[in-house]
Amino acid sequence: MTFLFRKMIRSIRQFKLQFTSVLLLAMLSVVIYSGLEGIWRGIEYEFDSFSEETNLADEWVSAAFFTDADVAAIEQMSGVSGVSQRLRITASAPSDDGDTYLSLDTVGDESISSMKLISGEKYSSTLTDSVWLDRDYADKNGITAGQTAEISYNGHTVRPTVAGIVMSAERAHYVGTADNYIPEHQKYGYGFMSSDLSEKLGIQISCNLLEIKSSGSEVKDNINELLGERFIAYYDRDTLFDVAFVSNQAANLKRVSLLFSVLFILLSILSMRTTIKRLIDAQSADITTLKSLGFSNRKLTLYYSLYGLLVSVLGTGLGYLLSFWFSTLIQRSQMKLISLPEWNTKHTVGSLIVILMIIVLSLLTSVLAARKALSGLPAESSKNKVTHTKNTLIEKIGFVWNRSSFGMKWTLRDASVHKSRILLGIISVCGSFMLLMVGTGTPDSIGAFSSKTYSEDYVYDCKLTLNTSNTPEQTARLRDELDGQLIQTVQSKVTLEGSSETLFKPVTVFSDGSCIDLRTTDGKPLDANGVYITEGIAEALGVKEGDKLGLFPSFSGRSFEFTVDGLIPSGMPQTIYIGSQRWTDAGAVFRPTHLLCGQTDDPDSLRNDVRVSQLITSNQQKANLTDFSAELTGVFTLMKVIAFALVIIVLYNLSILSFIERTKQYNTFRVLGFRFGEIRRLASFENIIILVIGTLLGIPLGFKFLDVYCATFSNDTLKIYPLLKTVNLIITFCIVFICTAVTTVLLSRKIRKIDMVQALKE
Amino acid sequence: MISIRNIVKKYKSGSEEIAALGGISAEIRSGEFTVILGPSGSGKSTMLNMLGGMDRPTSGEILIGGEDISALSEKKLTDYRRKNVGFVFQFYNLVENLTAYENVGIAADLNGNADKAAEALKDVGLEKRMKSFPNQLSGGEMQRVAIARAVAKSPKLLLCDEPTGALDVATGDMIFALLKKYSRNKDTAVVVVTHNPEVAKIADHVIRLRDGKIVADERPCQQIKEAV
Repeated sequence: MTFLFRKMIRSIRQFKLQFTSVLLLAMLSVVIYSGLEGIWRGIEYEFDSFSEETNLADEWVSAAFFTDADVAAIEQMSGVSGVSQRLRITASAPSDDGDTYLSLDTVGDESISSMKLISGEKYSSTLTDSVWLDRDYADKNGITAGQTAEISYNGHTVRPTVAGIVMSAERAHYVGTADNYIPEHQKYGYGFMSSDLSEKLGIQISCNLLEIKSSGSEVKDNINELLGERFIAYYDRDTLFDVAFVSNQAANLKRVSLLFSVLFILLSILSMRTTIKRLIDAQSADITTLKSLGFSNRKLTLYYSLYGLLVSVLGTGLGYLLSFWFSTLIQRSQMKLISLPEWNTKHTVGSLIVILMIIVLSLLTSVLAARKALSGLPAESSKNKVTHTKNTLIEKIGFVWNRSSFGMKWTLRDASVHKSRILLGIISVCGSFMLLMVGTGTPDSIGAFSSKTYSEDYVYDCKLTLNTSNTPEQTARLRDELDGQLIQTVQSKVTLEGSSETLFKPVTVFSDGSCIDLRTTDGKPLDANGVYITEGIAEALGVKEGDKLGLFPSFSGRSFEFTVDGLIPSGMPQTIYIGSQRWTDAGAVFRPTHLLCGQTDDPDSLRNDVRVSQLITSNQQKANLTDFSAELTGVFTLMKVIAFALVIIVLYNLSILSFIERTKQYNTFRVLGFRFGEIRRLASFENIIILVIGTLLGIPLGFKFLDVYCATFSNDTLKIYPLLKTVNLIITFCIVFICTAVTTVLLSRKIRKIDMVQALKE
Repeated sequence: MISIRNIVKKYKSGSEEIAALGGISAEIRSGEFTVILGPSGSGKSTMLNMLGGMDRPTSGEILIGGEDISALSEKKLTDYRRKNVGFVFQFYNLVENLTAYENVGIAADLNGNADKAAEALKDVGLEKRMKSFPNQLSGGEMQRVAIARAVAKSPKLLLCDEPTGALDVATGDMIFALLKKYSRNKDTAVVVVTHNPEVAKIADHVIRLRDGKIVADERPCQQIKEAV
């Protein structure tokens, strides 16, 4: 076998282009799967460790306030193993760039959802006049332990010592406001405060948030009834955005890794098959000789299958090594979305299973390709192998077939004989379309989402969060001064007819005004008497126009029934919209929580208004989305590069394979008197067929892939609708077309260089 | 009339220069069945390739209809082959994915004569095999398709390189009979390269090559006439 091994190395060098493309495809499939696996498993593992270390709660309930009886009742509910009482407020703190906002908790039972100390002093209930601030916020604002902070709430200001810098698992994806998509650590942070500070800040209550450890508890089903009008919101790990985002993100990355790697594995296997077949065809004389010398068919099959083994082992091995670098690349963008104390990639046996699968498939493909070709006695190998051609299906379409030139007929029949070559080409063109459309379509989609949300659906300059202590008169005066539109955002328990499931979804009650310009799917504007539901929530609930919804909103103490009047194709927020007239007619109380303001000369001046607790401008919201899109630029660029490489490598490889197989026929054409341009046209027919079919399949698949990819960014609060601008679709087609044309040009050069006389002798 | 004047063809093989043809001159006439005989390596196929415009001589002239084809550009040589030359090869060189009819048609179509394909196949006795693919034909049938393809172009020059080399004796005789039939067309010169001396018996013109040189150039029928 030593000599055969040497022969193998030389053959690989001779067919280096073909084997390189197989190697690259195998490598890419492992880089992508293993690289992304390292990330999503790393995120899962680190978050699970973080959650376990800090004993993250399983459920969260917020209310206007809790009594001891409430807490006792909840502790008694089945499935509940522990309850920690907290007081949570949103305070402001000055910085060089304007006010920042801090969500601060007092700590009841520190054993549930405890903070992880990063630096400074550990939390102690004996410490007074102290705060512990979140690491990311502290980093962005240049705060270290030992410094003094200035915190204001409800007209009161305190200056506690920053006792420590901490992290909390329940804020792993803390965006600070429901209007942000990605964390803005400089502006929004969280922390913990010593219990004495709540009194100094003028807070009358001691507890408005319960953190619950439980398993299969009945809290969700009973909490509304227990708390009545005091109920504000309920979350569990699947619905608390700051926590759910982490597991959703890991799941999304897993999905994307599977999608991409399956595509490349398929291409790699097809490529291997065509290459081995071509290799054996080219070495038929060698095979005859080896058989005559006494090599058995089995030994030769083993020999040729080693090509598959060697190339796949090299490709997957290189891929595995590169996957660590790839993980690091992707990790950087994830670190901007998720806050974890440790960031480690985690490669498991899953990657090795994928590698093994690729190697086994490559080996099997080589064995099957070789076995058929090597069967029989030596004399059979030495005979000129005549291709067993038969009529194709397309010949039955007389209209098409009879109008085809002889050259086109030749191409179509050749394609039907070499189906795997054509399939490989089509899949690579489809794959390119998919990658390019996602690479260009996702930024288009995010851009459209931003534009639609902040320039069409919502037309405001700034959104004010109203102080909870405002009287209705204060709120009304503020609205009149700013000519704004009041809305009330609450959470509500939602029940559906025929379903026993308990869900909690946001509800937005809107009053008259011009800042909300949403339209239903029928194009109708919202009516003050209407009830509408955004498409994302409608899909999640399985609700359509005309369905009845049972709502038990916060602060109401009772349930209401509404009929859905229409669906709204809106990205953000995902919510149930109810006109204030309908709301109050049903017996609910309209208590505005936000004011949307149109043209405002100086929005920043409103930050100091006592009636306003927070302010965000639409420009800031757009900038937040732009930042998010910018974080993904690296990933999109990578997709485009891979798309280029895919179509050029695979199509060029196929062109060379088909060139080798057709050399004699090209020469026959030259002898017959075909001009070079005519032969080039014949040669490029196959690429044209691949391009046409690949485009017809690739475009719808690309849109589907874009839809799936955009869904990875959608969640309970927002839905990104996939969009690809026409100009980008045209550019995508042009790129694929140019890549195809380049491979055709390269093929033409090879045809021109054939030595007619020499080739006809062979 | 085709005139070959002092054709030399040299190839480089490593550092050596090999003279495949060492200055040959001959005349080939339309309406004649010319056979080029010689052992392996004598330069027969090289001479045929020169006549067919598939290769250029190192020096010398090949005049066809008064035009020196050795000086033509590659593009003009292609046109020359397209319009004037029919080729028949030892191993047929049929296009695998085309039927017998389509193999003939693709060549005839080059000169706008696609409708001659059926007639050409009928002429070689294959009217019932038009829809067969090469893998469905016997060796003799494939060679007949190749001949039909060559003559469908109505070429001035029909060149055959060992046309019966892959066939049995009986089939080979049938092929030569066909080729001889085509040579009777006053506008066509048929040139056959072979190493089989028996073929010389049916030839109008025999050129014998050895080591790249013409050692005999005979027209047996003419010699008999002159003798008489």
